[in-house]
Formats: sequence, structure tokens, C-alpha cells
Amino acid sequence: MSPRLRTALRLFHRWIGFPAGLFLFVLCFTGSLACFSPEIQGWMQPRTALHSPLPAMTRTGLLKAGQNLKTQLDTGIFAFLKLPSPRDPVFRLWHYDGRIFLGPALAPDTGLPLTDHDVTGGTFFVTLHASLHLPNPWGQILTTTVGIGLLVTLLTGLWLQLRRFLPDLLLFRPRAASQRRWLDLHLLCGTLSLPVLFIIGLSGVILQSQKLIHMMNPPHHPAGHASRHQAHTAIPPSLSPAIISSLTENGLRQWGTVADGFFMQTGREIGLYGPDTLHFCLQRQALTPSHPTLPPRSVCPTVHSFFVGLHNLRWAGLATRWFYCFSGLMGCIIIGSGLVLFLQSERNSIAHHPVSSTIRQRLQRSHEAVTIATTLGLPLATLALFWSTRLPTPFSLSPILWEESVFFGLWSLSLLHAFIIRPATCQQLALVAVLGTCTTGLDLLTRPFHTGRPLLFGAVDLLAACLGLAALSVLLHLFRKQAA
Amino acid sequence: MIILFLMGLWAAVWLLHLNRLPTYRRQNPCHLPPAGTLQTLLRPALPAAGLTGACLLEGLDGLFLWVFTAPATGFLLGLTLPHLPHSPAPKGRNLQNHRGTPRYLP
Repeated sequence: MSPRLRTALRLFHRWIGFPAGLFLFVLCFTGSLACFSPEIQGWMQPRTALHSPLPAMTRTGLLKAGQNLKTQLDTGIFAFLKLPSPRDPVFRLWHYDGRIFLGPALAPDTGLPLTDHDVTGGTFFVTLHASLHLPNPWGQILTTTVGIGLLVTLLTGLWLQLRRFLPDLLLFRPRAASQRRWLDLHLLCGTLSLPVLFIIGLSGVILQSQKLIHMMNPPHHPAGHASRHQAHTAIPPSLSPAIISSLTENGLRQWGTVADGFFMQTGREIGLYGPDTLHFCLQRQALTPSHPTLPPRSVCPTVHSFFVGLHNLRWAGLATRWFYCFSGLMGCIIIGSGLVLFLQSERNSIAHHPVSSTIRQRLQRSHEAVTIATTLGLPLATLALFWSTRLPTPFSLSPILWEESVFFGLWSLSLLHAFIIRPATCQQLALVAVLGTCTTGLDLLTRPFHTGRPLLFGAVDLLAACLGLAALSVLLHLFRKQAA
Repeated sequence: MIILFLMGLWAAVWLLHLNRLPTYRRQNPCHLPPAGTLQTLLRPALPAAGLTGACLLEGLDGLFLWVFTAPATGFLLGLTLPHLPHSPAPKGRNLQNHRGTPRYLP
């Protein structure tokens, strides 16, 4: 490779990678959390975890939940009823408020409400992953651009490392100099997970581009069609116990299970949608009173359905989802180490030019601040959000408003703190360590000890503790370095 | 069970890959016997066997597990291997001065 090409590639890799990396870290982190959206919802609403053994869905429960759905539709709220599944063993009478899904959880055996207040839940991270909670179409435009940035950075990185790709595939030297160590970590994760990240990134870009195209050219819907984005429905459909029972029986005959399926208004009728977990490709087909059976359909009806299956992995088993989550966290390590390398090389560049301009030094300071707010502020805000769902809401605020304020407020404070105070890294690491390691204690204190889903709570507590311990070990390393 | 099988298989593939590298390139310790015909044959055969086995046992889940376990195993191995004791360098030869040794930062 000629030196000129190498310089150009490095320039692209650094200056596309750094701004895109700030957002990509958020996308990878929230994407990893989104793999376990129903489980996070369960952790945040411990009363929905029920007691062991978990009760199964009964006809009484289904009819009562159907009655609640009818009441909501009659009042003009476009709600839908999600049926219990092993991942979320309660009915969810949800509606979409433009950002997240919210609504009461109902017992699977009685259909009675289980919890007294809504929480932001797992869908908060899904929306943050999909559109960064920005209004349409800006969120989609930003995530698409950032996704393209990921692909460009991956390709330029691969090109730069091509000659050493195979020989240095597993190379990591923990005792080398700091910059070399970070570069080894960046290359170790980057080269090993390059194909996985490329496929995830590409599928994400395609899905977001399709959304943008749909926004520009909305698809034609028949008259009376309602969508989840509508706050109010025009004419509520008829929904009697007989309709619910017959649709459920038809669903069981058609799909073998209705767990994770949902009842939602489609046109002027109520429809039972099949579970997303049945097929690789997303097949949103509804059984309605007028169409009680479904015509045979191809395995992957559209390109969109294929990419949804590839990117969301809703069909996948628990182990595959864990590994998918781990791939997202590997993405966080790659991006985080890349951001650190960028800052180190900028710092070196300033150090080698003693007469650096004030503007350049201020720019360097702002790069450091946004990196700290991204890599430490986001985990800190996430842990704080988890805590806020379990602690009482102050004043008379709506719980969701309070939790979202805690998340975004703390994240903004992290940025401000990094701008103002020099040792912000150590202080924010200490906060992450405290919140992460104490999550287990908070969990045990704020939920019934005997629960139907001990593994769910254990797994979330363990992940938070790992995050806290990782922050603590980095903090101790920094202290040792300062002392030396 | 399938995860252990796949991770073991990928660990073997990565170790065979390391063993194939010339000594001056092998920065991470690897104590397998010197690379021979069997190792050359096993290196492409093991992933293929793993893919077939995973797909037969777990279907589509198996395919994705096969994909995801490769970087995960490599990452864990890459972090663990440098902490294991290195094999002694060949006598009378300074590896850092070998003409093929890549130039790294200090």
C-alpha cells in the first residue's frame, strides 16, 4: 500500500470513525439491551414476575383481558393486547405514545391488573436504538447516516489492517505501552467480529433506509385502517368473548401456539396476529372474524421481512440472543477503544507541536468531554434509569416522565461535568461502580424475595455488577498509574 | 451443550491458526506440536464440521450460534493466552531482529 493511500485511509478511518463512533456506541449499547427488552420490562416491574410456579393463560384471564381491550378501544385509545409468553408471562394491554409502549400488565390467569404504575421499560432502549428518541424523520436520518459511517469505518479499517489481518488475528499484548494495548484491543475485537458487525450494520442501514422511504412515500392503506402510531381510532371494532375465543382457537390450530401473539384492530375488525417468534422472516398476518384462516404464504414475503429477521433476531433462542448481545458489547469495546486511540493520537499531536493554538486545545477538550459522556455517561444514565424504576417517584410527577428525566438529565450532566471538571473520568467511573455493584442490593430490597423468575433478576443484577466491577477495575488501574 | 461444543471447536481452530504462524509472528503462546499435514487439514475441516453439526442439531439457531461463538471464543482466547507462560525462544536467534518481524510501537 502506498504511503499516500495509507494516510488517506487513516484520515477517513479517524475522522469518520470518531463522530460516527459517538453515536455508534449508543446504538451498540442500546441494541445489546434491546435484545432483552421483555426481560428488562419484567425487571423494572417486579410485580409482573409473579410467583413460582408461573400461572398459565386461562380462558377466564383471556376474556377479562379482552374486555379491558374493548374498554380501551371504546374510549378511543388505540391499544393492543399482547398475549403471555415464556419471556413475558403476563398480558400487556399496551398502546404506543409515539416513543414507547405503555399500559397495564394483566395476570395471565385472572386478567386483573398486576402493577400500579407504568415504567419506561425495555421499549425505551428499542426506541433509543432505532431513532435516538429524536422526532421523525431526524432520528432515522441520523441513525442511517451513522450506520453508513460504521460501514465506511469498518471497510477502511479492514483495508488498513489487510496485510496483518490473519497474522495478527489474536494478538493482544497486555504488558505493552498504553497506546499499543488499546490498539491491540481495538484490532482484536475489530478483526474477529468484523463479519458480524458488518451484517448487523448493513441490515440496520437497510431497515432504516426503508423506513425513510416509507416516510417520504407513505404506503396506501385501505379506508378504516388503523396503525399503532394513531392515538385514536375512528370506529372501535366489535369484540365479544365469542370472537376472542374463536380467534384464539383458530390461532392455535394455525400456528400451534398463540404465546407472544397479539390482538389488535385491523381495518374495522379485531385481528389476532401470530407470534413473531415462529419464523425467521417477520410475518405479520392476522386472523380476523371474516378471515378465520390464512392463505399459504412464502417463507420470506418481502426483503424487509428478511432483514427484520436478520437484525432483530426475535425468533432466536436464549443462547443466540445472549451471543447477539455479546456481539453488541464487543461493538462497544471496538468503538470505545477507537475513541480512546483517537484522543491519544490527538493529544500526542498537540504535545509534539508546542505552539498549538488555543482553538485546537479547546477542540481536544471538547473531544474528551463528548467521549466521556458517551462511554461513561450512557452506562451511568442507564443504571440510574434502572434505579429510578424501583425507587419512589418524587413530588407528584408521572413515573415515566421522572424516569426519562433521570436518564436524559444525568446523561446531560455527565457531558457538562466532563466539560467543566478535569478528573471527570475518575468521578464518573466511581459512580458507575457504585450504582452497578449496588444494583443487586436495590433489587433484593425493592421486590418480593420469592419470585417466579429468579434467573431474570439474577441475570440483570449480574450484568449490572459486572459493569460496576469493570468500572472499579479501570478506576483502580488509573489510581495506580497516577501513584506511579 | 452445543455452545460448549462450538466454543471448543473454535478454540481449536484459533490455536491451529496460531500454530501455523512463523515463530517470529507468534506473539501469543501456543504449545501445540509443530504444524503438519493433519493440522493443515483440520484447520478448514473443523469449522465446516462445526457448521454442519450445529445446523443439524439446532437448525437456524445453530447457524447463528456458529457465527457468534467464533469471535467470542477468539476474544476470550486472545485475552487469556498472553497471561500463559511462553515457550522458550529458539536458541541463538533474536526473534525481534528477524527480517520478517513487524515493526510495532514501543
